[in-house]
Order: sequence, then structure tokens, then C-alpha cells
Amino acid sequence: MQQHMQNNDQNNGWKSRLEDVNAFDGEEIINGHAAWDALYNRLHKPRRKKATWYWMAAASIIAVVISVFLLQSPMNQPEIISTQATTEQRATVNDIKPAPQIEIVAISPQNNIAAPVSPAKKQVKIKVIEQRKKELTAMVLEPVEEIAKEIVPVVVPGDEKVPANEQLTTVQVKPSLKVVHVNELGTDQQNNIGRPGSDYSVLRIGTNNKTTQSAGKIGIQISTAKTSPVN
Amino acid sequence: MDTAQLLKEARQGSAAAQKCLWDSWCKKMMLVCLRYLKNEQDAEEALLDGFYKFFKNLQGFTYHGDAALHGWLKKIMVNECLMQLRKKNVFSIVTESAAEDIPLPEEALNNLSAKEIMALIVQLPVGYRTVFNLHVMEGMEHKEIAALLGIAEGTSKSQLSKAKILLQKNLSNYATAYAKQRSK
Repeated sequence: MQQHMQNNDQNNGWKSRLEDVNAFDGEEIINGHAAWDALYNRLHKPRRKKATWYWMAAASIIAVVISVFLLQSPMNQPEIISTQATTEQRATVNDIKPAPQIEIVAISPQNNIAAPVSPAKKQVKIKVIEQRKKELTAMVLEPVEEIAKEIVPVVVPGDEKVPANEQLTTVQVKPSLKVVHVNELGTDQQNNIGRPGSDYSVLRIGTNNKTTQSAGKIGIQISTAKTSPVN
Repeated sequence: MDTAQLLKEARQGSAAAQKCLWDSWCKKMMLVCLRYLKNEQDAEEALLDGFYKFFKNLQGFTYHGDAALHGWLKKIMVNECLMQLRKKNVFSIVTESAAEDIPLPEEALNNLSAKEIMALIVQLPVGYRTVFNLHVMEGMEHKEIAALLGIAEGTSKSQLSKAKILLQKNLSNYATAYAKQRSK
């Protein structure tokens, strides 16, 4: 029993020495001041982490709202198209295909050096671009009048109240004639001599003598004459 | 100022009282952390985390003397150290059958200084060291250790016996090296 007690004391001897700070004299166990400063900051100073979390939450909410708004706006467009597609007129409008987008590739000298393109690929690319250009020019050169003529306004029964934005699309575009002032008009001979290369209608206003003599009224004859270029 | 008064003021958020408590206990607790964690930075981190929890949970502590306070603080620090070890995934305790009980070389240990004993303990692999610390230094049973570390009781026993064997071996090596040095 006594031996066991002695053993315990011995055991506690080296154990207690391990926990005794004075046993480690001459060795700095911890830099108490620096560690306390760190602990003090954690205990008493408000952590900025919370604030950043709030900011992040706010930013994410804004991002979600914007993304929902952006996603909804393209989803509304098909509804408008579907209502328009009920009429034939809208069908014709839809038939007009939009001009194909030509991909403009900016080729910088650096890019050229960095990524060399094989000649076969380059030729194919050039061909495709030229074809697209032709298609685009064909679309652009098509007279506006012809496109306008194709658009025939059709009134759907029971749908008399057409919204303003739709009315704009159904207005028929008329070919406008060139307006010539009265003072610019001369004699028939002069009128016949048109400007070379011009192609416009002339509004001729004159008095009919016979009519004025017999009826005592002034008659106005309006006729249009098309001048042709003089060879 | 006595510890009870300090604890009362620290509970109310007095930085001065907290500083006093820190000054009186930080070194002792750092020694506990250093026994579990080899790296000084890790030990300091565990110490700060432990004291932070101590001050935050001071409301639930009733003072019954310095021994109780020491025990509570030590428990917090040991838990923090184990958490650090888990975080770093350094536990590599392999399940093994129970080994025979090997006695500690008490006499040899008593002849060594605190620094030397600490160096010998720190030299042990992490699994051995943790079980050794929990059983020999903290006085925990193998059942408790097994539950705390998530290992079998037999594994805890075998880890302890291996730790003791290694400690004996290191002690003998240390003794021979010391004898050689003295003869020179």
C-alpha cells in the first residue's frame, strides 16, 4: 500500500512538473501580449464578417431580382408574336426573315501570329462570309415599296380595336412623288425636256380656254406627264 | 483581487478582468495544448479558441475553487485540441486488438526535467500521443477515450501500450546518448 502511494506520488511528480510553468523557466511558452490582443479583438471588437455577409446577401437578392426580370421579359415576347400570328398579315410579316448576322472577326496581328489558320479553312471561311454578304446585300437592295405592298392590313372580325403599336405595323407605305413648285413649270416643250437621267412625275396645271369661253368657268386640267431622259 | 471577483467582472464583460484571468492561466493552458499539438501555431490557435469559448460561456460556470476552474479550462482546451486534430485529419488510428498492459518507466521519467519529458511526449506519433495524453495525463478511461475519438476500446488500449513501448525505447536511447555525452 505504501509502495503504491509512493508510486502515485512519483507519477504525480513528473506529471505535475509538466503542468508547472516555472519548470519551463527560460523558455517563452507563449507571447502573452500578442495572443491577448488577438483574443481581445475577437471578444470586444465587432466583427466585419457579419457586415460582409449582409452585403453579400443584399447583392445576391438584387442579382436574383434582376435575373428574374431579364428572364421574364424574353418570355413575354412569344405571347405578342402568337397574338400577331393569328392574322395573315402577321404571317407575311413573319415571312420576312431578318438579315443574317455576319460575324465580324477582328483579326489583330497578334492573333494572326498566335493562331495560324490553314489555307483550306480560310477559303471556306471567306466563302461563307461572301455568301452571307451577298444575302445581306440582296435583302438590303430589295425596294422598300415592294416589301410594303406585301403587307396588307387585314381586319380581324371582332378585333376592331387594334392597339397603337400594332397599327404602326399595318400602315401601308405609299410611294411618294416628287413635289414640284408651280413656278418651276414651263411650257410643254420645256416640260418634255426633262433632266437627263431623271425619272419623276410632273404635275401640270393649266387653264382650258374652250371651257372658260363656253361655260364662263375656269377649268383646271391636271395631268401627269412622265419625262424621259433625252438621248 | 480574488478569482471569484475576477470571474464576476469578466462575466459582465470587463476587459481588465478578462486580461487578469488570461495572464494567470494562459501559460498553463498553452502547455496542455502543446502536449496535444506539435505545432506551436496550432497550439496557440487552440488556446485562443478555448479562451474565447471560456469567456463567452462564463455565465454557465459557477466557481467552486481554483481546482474546478483549472479542470474546466483544461477540459475546454483538450476539446479544442482534439477539434484541431480532427480538422487537420491527422488521426490515423488503425483498429487493433488489445495489447498487454505495459508499465510506465516512472523512475526514468522522474529523473528527467519537464522540458525533456515534454520533448519525449511530443516525439510520439499523433495517435499514440493523443491516447497517452488522455489516459495518463487526463486520467480518462479507455471507454471514454474510445467514445471521444470514435475508436474501439481495444484500439485505445493497444495505442496506449504502443505509446508506452515507444516512450521506453526513446527513454533508453536518450539515456545512452546522455551517458555517451557525459563520458566524453
